[in-house]
Amino acid sequence: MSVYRWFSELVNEMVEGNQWLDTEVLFRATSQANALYEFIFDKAAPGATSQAIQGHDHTSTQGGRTCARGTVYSGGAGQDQFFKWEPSAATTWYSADNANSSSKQRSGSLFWAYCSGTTTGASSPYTTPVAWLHVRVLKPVPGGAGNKTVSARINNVTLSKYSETKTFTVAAGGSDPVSESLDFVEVPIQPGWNEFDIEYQTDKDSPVVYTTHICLMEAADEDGCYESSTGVSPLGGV
Amino acid sequence: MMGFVTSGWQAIKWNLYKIGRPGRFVLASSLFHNLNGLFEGLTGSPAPGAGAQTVAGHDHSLQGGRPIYRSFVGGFDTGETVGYLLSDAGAVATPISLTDKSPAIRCYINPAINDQLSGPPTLTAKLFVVMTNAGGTSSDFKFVIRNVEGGSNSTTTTETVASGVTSSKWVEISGIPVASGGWQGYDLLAGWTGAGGAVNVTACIMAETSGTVAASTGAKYDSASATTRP
Repeated sequence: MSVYRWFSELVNEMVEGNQWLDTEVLFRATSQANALYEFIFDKAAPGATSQAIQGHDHTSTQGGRTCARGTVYSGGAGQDQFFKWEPSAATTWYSADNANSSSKQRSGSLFWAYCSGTTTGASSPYTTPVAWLHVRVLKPVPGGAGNKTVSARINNVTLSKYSETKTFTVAAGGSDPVSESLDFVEVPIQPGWNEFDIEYQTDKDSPVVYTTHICLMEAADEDGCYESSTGVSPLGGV
Repeated sequence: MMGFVTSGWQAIKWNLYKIGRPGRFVLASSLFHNLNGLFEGLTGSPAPGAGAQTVAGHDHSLQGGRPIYRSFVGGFDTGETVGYLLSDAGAVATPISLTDKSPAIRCYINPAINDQLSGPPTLTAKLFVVMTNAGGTSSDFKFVIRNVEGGSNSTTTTETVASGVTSSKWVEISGIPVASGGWQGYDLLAGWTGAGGAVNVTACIMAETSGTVAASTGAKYDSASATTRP
């Protein structure tokens, strides 16, 4: 007494109007129903003593539309110093913690995150960007004349790919440090562990920049976090 | 015609239909019953034409479906600021907690990922550690994460540091127990074999990974060879 589980072809030509269904059609339909049960619920179909179809898990390896995991990394030290940056030269990229005490510098491996989506495309803007990074920086008043323009980018060290580049101004005037937030929406990721670095460069002088908080998010339902989709919901709605 | 829509699970077996015979009511009704159940199980909504939902929608947690790894479940990163510290003039042969209050960290794990599953499933963590060896000999620094509920430990990650050296690096700890899933507490433990050691853990990223849910009772479907067909 077998319970068959099989994802078969169900083509319209197998059935005709006002005709009996034959065994092949019924076999395919019942096998499909049993296979769907196991694929959805990840357990043996009713009446079956073992499971033949592996359940979906919303990853690229076992099927199901890829799910955004939300926050996949967060770090910050409140009012205390998190990462300190101070360039040795202008127009050169340096890691965001290059001015931390030496034992707390991470040598281009600032943080790790376990991701599930897949960025496609060769460079920013990517075809399917799937992660965002929020960065808050604190900018003490720098030495030297005039404002400084600092560029920032995210390096996915695992993939050897960069995000888009954002810029902010470190103003020469005023007396108090000023904070600013940056949102990167083109952070490349791959399924599994990803190693990241945050890099800054200045157009002139050596302004100090503190990175006070960072948060990496798989971008929910926005901006193509899903790896592929027809855009149709399972209920047929919008 | 008043619709009568049922949903649920009946065994759909090979002997319900015979070659050369038309399909019977029991087969057709079983098919409809199960397909309606699949719809409800998949969407979490009543089947088309049904007035009420009788099969709970799957949620990859306690309502069925393979557990989904959810990536980051807890941890911290203090960067330049002091993290979790331990120092001792002597050896700490058996790793001890880095905090005087337990647990050091709380995480929320998918309730369906628990030690009732085969394996059992475990978490993985990345830690940024600063290891200082002020002793006169090479020292093996050990790092462990303990699940408070079960009192069981992860696998031990060991790093060797030469005499008089401070070494900073990311290390990975695997095999972190999940106990009963849901809210769990964890302690960070460290130790070293030589004298005059100190550690400072400034980052800890704990995650459910694909390896957490890798155990499977079923064979992966291969449409090219239809290998799952009995």
